[in-house]
Amino acid sequence: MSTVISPFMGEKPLNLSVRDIIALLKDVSELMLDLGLSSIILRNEEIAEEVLKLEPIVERLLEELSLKVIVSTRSLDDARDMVPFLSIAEMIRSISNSAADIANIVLEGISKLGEIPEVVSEFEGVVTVLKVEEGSYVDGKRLDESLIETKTGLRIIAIRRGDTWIFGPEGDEVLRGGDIIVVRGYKRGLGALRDMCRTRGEDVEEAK
Amino acid sequence: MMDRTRLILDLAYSALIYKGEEIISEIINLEDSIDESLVEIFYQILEGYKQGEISRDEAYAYLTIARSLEEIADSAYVIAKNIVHGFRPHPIIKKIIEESETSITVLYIPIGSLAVNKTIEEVVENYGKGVEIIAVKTGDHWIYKPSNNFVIRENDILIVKGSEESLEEFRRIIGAEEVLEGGED
Repeated sequence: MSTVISPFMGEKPLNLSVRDIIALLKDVSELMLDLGLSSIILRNEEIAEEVLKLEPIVERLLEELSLKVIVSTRSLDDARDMVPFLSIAEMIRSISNSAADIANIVLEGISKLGEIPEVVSEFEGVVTVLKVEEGSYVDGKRLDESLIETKTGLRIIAIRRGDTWIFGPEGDEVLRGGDIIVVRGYKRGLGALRDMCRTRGEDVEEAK
Repeated sequence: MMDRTRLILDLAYSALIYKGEEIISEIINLEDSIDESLVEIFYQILEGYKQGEISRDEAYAYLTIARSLEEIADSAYVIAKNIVHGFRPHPIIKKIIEESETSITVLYIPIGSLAVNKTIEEVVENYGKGVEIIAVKTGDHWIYKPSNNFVIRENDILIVKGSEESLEEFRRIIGAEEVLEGGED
């Protein structure tokens, strides 16, 4: 099932179980790390920016987790049992901060730098972001109609529409011009996907 | 180091969400190896800088990346440690684990296993309906999310995700051995 989250949902509870929140925190913080690592390998500042845009989502989820923990604590014994949750929440915040540190290195101009030592950079497969342009082939198409996965071998793991994130989008999700899609897979499918997301007739900018 | 950091994070969360305590010892091993890599990277970068092979900006960038990776690995380790040690399992954690339909297990591939010299794709398609191989340890080297044409060798260790039944069936058919907690180092 896809989950839609925006950092500006205000006080409204997210209506998620503790399990859902932890599962979502797993997805979001792993995505931050994947995007951070991919931004280094692909030397891509746009990808690094998406890492920073996920930070408020992690904060929102952690806040929700803390609230649930507080609400379910009624005694000192309960409180003791809840300590692991707080520790886990703190660790997830630290993971999100480290991923942001990595992204900031890219934003500070890693493209000027030389080859990254191999011992640091061994990493297979990439996650990248693409913008759906208005009037492109996929604009207005449902994900399952777009045949993105069949044609490119890449899988859409998230969509950002303004401030709102859709994690694990379903086949009936309709792509719109301006959407930022996050895809996972291998570099070889990227060219084809780029063409599908681009308004016809524009200059083709080669991926480096 | 990126691969291993990515793996340790996946394993820690998996230990949190799914059933499977066997992976905790792998998490501890990985954390050790990432710590060692960080030291090695520090020395390499210092040496490279001294020799004039890398600039000050480059040294700063690489050190920050490596340190961030190591911090993530540390956090993952603490998450895993929280699950098994030090605290009574909280009812919510217990419920999370019991509700989970997905398990995760560590399998050792002995000589004579059906999986030996076959690609991940062949093994999963023929013997492992519904299971996902998330990592392979071959020698001392971890491969995170191995590609479909990766060939499994004897003595490899696989980390596999799936329902408890599908994992057990997969283990039985390929003739793999379960790696018990603390049993491998």
